[in-house]
Order: sequence, then C-alpha cells, then structure tokens
Amino acid sequence: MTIKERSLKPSKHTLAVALAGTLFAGAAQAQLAGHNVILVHGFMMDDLSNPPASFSDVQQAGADNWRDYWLNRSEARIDWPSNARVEGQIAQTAYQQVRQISQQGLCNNYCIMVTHSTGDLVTRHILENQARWLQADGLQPLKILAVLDLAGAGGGTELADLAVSVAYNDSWYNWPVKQAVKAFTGIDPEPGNLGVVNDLQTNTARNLAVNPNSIPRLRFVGGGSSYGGITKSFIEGTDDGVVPTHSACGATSANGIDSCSGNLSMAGKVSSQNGPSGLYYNHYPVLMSEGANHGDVITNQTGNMAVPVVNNTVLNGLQVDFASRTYNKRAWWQLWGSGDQYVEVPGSDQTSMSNLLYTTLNN
Amino acid sequence: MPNKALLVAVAAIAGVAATSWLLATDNTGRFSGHTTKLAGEAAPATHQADVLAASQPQQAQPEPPSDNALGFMLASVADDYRQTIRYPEYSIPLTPAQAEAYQGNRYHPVALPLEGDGEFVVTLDKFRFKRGEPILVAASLTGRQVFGDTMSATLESIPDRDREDSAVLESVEPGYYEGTVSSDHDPGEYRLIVEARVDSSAVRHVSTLNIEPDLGNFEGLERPYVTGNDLVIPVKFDPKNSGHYSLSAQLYSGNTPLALLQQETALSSGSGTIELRAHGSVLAGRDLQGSLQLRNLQIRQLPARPGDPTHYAYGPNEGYEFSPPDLEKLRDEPAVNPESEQRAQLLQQLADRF
Repeated sequence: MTIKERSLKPSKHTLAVALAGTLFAGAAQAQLAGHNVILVHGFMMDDLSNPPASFSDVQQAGADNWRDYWLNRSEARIDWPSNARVEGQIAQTAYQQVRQISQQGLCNNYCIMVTHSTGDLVTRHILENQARWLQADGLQPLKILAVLDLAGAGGGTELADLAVSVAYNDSWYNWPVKQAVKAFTGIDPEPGNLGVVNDLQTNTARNLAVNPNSIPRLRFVGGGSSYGGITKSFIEGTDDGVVPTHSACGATSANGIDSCSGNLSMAGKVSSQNGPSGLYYNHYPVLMSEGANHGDVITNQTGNMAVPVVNNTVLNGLQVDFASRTYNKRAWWQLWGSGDQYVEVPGSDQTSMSNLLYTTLNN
Repeated sequence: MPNKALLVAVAAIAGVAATSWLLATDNTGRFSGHTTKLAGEAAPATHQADVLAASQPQQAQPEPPSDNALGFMLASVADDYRQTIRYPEYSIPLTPAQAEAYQGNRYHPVALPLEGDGEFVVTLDKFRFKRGEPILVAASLTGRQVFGDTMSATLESIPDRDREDSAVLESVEPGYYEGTVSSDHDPGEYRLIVEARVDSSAVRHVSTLNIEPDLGNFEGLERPYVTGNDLVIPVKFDPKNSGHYSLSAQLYSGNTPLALLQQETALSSGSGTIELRAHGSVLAGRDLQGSLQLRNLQIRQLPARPGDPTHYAYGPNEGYEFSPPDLEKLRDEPAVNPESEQRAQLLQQLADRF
C-alpha cells in the first residue's frame, strides 16, 4: 500500500474545520471531547527578574499566558512560580490547585491536561505523586485521560545547561552564548537566581520523575525560531527556539535529533531523517510544524503547516491507506519526475496548531 | 581522431542521461527506500507499539480511517494505547532504547561552546552519587585555542554555595582531563564547577549532580515463585527510615531486556521485602533458557508531602541472577486494569469519530 496522492487544494472538510475553529473562538467550551481541560503553563521568564509577590500574581501570570487561545477553553489551571524548583515550592503551589480540582470533582469523568513547555516536567512530577498525596488528605485522585504536551520540555533544554555555566563566567565569555541565555531567561544569570531553569538542565530534567505510567502523553512539536533565531545554534538538533526536538517528541535520549520520525522531516518531506532511537513509554508524537516556534503552539498564530508524525501506516494490526494530503514538489534540478513527496495536514496553515487540535477533538 | 571524438560524444551523452535518470524522482529504484519504508515498515524510531504488536493476534478488518490526518493520528494513538494496556503498569515490555533510558541515573555529556568551533565537554558516569563514592570527572577541550595543562573541579552546595571539595584534573592525553572529587558531603544538590584555562583566561563549565542519603541496603532476593499469571520476585531491602518507596528493576534474559518491573509500597524501618511481578504477557511463549537477571535496581523514597525531595538508591551494579521456577503456567493474556481500560475506551471513542 502506498501513500495516496491528493490535490493541493484544501478539502471542504478542512475548510469546515478551520471555520468551525474561528466560530468556536467566540463561544468556546471548556472541554475537549467532553472532558474538562486543565492547563499547566510553561517557564515564565518574568518570574526570574521580578519574582511573584503572591499566589494571585502567579495566577494572573498563568491566566495571561493562556489568554490568546486556551484560557476560555479550560475548566481549571495549575499555575506555578518559575523562580522556584519543581520538587520544592512549585510542587507545593501546584498541589494546592490539584486539591481544589479534586474537591470540586472536576476530573471525576477524566480530565485532559494541556501543558506547554516546562509544564510537561511539572505535570510529570504531579502525576507521579498526586494519587498518594490526595489519598493521604482523604481526597480522590484525579482521573486523567491524556496529557497533550505542546512543545514539551520534559527532556530539558541545552539553553538551561548554558544558563548555569554563564552564571559562573566573567563578562567576557562567549558573547553569543550570553545573548542566547539572556534571551531565554530574561536576566543576567547568577548562581542563585535561576529558579526552574535549574530543573530544565538536560540531565536534571531527565532524572526527575521519569518512571513510566499509564497516562498517554500526546506530543505536539514546533520547529520555528524564537528570539530572532539567536538561540538555535546552541540547541542540539532541531528545536523551536527554546526546546529541542528530542525533548518535545519524548525521545529517550538527549542526543540531538531533527524530527520525531525517522522518515518524515518536520516540514513533512518524506525522506530519511535523524529521528529518535526510541520514545519514552506511552509518549506519542502526533503533530510537528517546522514553522511554529515555541510560543506559536499555544497561540492563535497561523501560517504554519502541520505534519502528522506517521511512523508507519499500520492501524489495528493491519496496513491501511493513510488519509492525509500528500503532494509532490519538484526541485529545480530534477529534470523530470514528480519531485519530492510531502505529507501534511491539509489546510493546517489556515489555522493555529492549538485550534487545529481543539477543533479536531471537539469535532 | 574522429573515432576518439565520437567516443567522447557518446560518453558525454551517456553521462548526462545517467545523471538525469539518477536525479529524476521517478527513479524509485535508487531513491525510494524512504517512501517504501513509510508505506509499510516500522520506522527506525522504535515505538513501543511496534514491539508490542509483534505478539498480537491480528484483529478483524479495520474500518478505513477518515480523510482527516489528525483524526488518523488520534486513531493511531488509541490503537497503540490499546496495545500497551494489555501489560500491567507493574510489568511493561521494553525496547532496547527504552531499556537504556529507564536504567535510571544516567548522565548525558554536557557541552559548553567555546569561541569558534571549540567545545568544553564534561562527562560523569552518573547523575546521583551515594554519599562517599568517588565522583570521577572527565573533561575535554577542543578548538583552536591554547589550553592549560590542568583543570580544577570544585563541588559547590546549592543554595548555600559552600565549596565542599576541589581537585585537580590532570591531562591524560592532549585535550582530555580526568580527576576525582569526593562525595562525602551532606545529601543534596550540588554544582560541579570545572575550570579550564583557555587562551590564558578562566572558563568555567558548570553542571549539576546529586548526593543521595543512605536509604538502606539491598539484601538480595528471596525465592521467586509463580502466582496467578505473575512471576513474583521478592527483593529484600532494609530501609533506614519508614516511608513510601518505589522499586524498579529490569528483567533480562541474557542480553535481552524482557520488562521493566516496578512496585510502590510502604516500608517500615528495619527490614522489608518488595515483591516485583513479571506478568505473563511479557514472559509466556518466550524461549527463555537458563537463569534470568534482575538489573538496574533503583529504589526511590517518594516525597511524603509536596515540596519534599525524592531520594534515590541503587542496587548492586551486577544485579541479581536467579533460576526461575517453572513458567509454563504463565499465559500471554491481557492484564486487567479498569482505569487504563476506561482510558482506552475513551480514546477509542474519540478516534471513532473520524
């Protein structure tokens, strides 16, 4: 069975999905596929330069972080301060909100968690411990259907490795590295002001709460530029300007990779790729988008084509035809023939990755 | 001479034709390896479902997926997830890459770029150290700069920034340095500061490691036995303190990883036994000859309250070898986990809409 070849024209179905998304933006529901949504935000650089004075500050920053798209599509949030550590104040702050979610019974019918960036790492620690902590408090553990990790930083980022070294080096040291770190952290790093950036070091992140569990993690991965591209050359393999692809895909090693798939580039080109040698248990890369940067994946940013991470076309144990738009693009040097083959989600550049996800699940 | 000209002309035409044929993408015989792979073979990225599917009986003819790529992916996830939940959470199969990843306590070399193409790389053999064991530090410098003959390594506590220990790293060959720092310090998180001279200036490479408290002692295995559809492997561990512990270990047959086994339990201080279980779904029907091995034992004292740290300890490097009892009674049947089953049904309902 081979890949179907389809026309370049977006299907009626695609347009309908995109239109539905636009309409939903005005009257969103706080559920995905009938399940309450809990949001866990990523690293907030402002917390390093201006630490939150109160929990309401943390909540306000959390709400602002999601305001562009997900805020009114969620039932609850778990907000946390980025000037703290995952196994310290972050766990304490997050757990207070987990308690409330349990007391309100918001996950009695299974929740879907949506995380961004470092929210992946925070969620991993919470999921590993929440049942025991809640039961000790006489409360019901949260039932989680799945976690949607947008630009997940659970595998850390090399920018955090560099930030820790920069904090100990004199001002002359390697100016481009310092600028990249400053763009990422928003501060001139010092040994004591890095907060959760400590947890984002690749070795620290990959040694924190990594035991497998039964909750599926669906991964959505960007490949665009952040901060004018100055961080890219300091991250292993491809990246979204902040998080390396090895982390966002859920790869079992911190070795640099270029795609979540060994046979499909982030742009959707069918070609041999430096993909992950393995994935963490129950981690499923779903979409990649070469153009979407670290922030784009949670906003209304359009114009970036999404690529389904198809490793094979076997479903239910049988090989099936793959339903997606594929097309062939011929390079200038190819004298004849149909050109390179691409796979992508039809019409996905007309909507944002988050909206594509939301509207598809609420279809 | 005219013959030579004719030969050159023929050779040139043949060359152009061959190049054109090679460059044309209709030439699937040369360039289509990747496309045929996409159309049927498992990808190099070893997904657990690829491994798991091998032991699955083929199901009835599936409904063709809808014309919706994301819907297809969700259906694919639901299918993969359905295959994983036939294994209980306490006994999951492992791909070789997962076996390496879940060994625990791994340290990936950390690189610091230098001016130009140079790099300053520090490597440790682990991330967490038992108090008292030596911390072997290996560092390398590459690039066009002029490097010093030695480096220094300093262990600094977090957050107090007390300098707990320091050592000189000697050059073992050009550009490579080694030395040892003591870990006989209070348990906690530390920064390892390795300082080199690069073009006569100091450059510091800083990374993080942990010194773990003594959680207790592994005291070997009790006799494994079969009950229900599980091979039970009791691991004796005498904890220093009461608490909630999670033990994980990898079950091997020779060099083949069979499963990751994990169990959470409350232990009282003094002595304890944690029963790891290997489910029939990872053992039945396999050609297992001779003894089995339990490797990469890792025990964690889990945080009693949010904000408490997780503490780690590790079993003997060589693991434990044991002769299994008769495994004939084990069956390759799916595990029963109501919550995972419900999760799979909900995912399937989600996927069925496409």
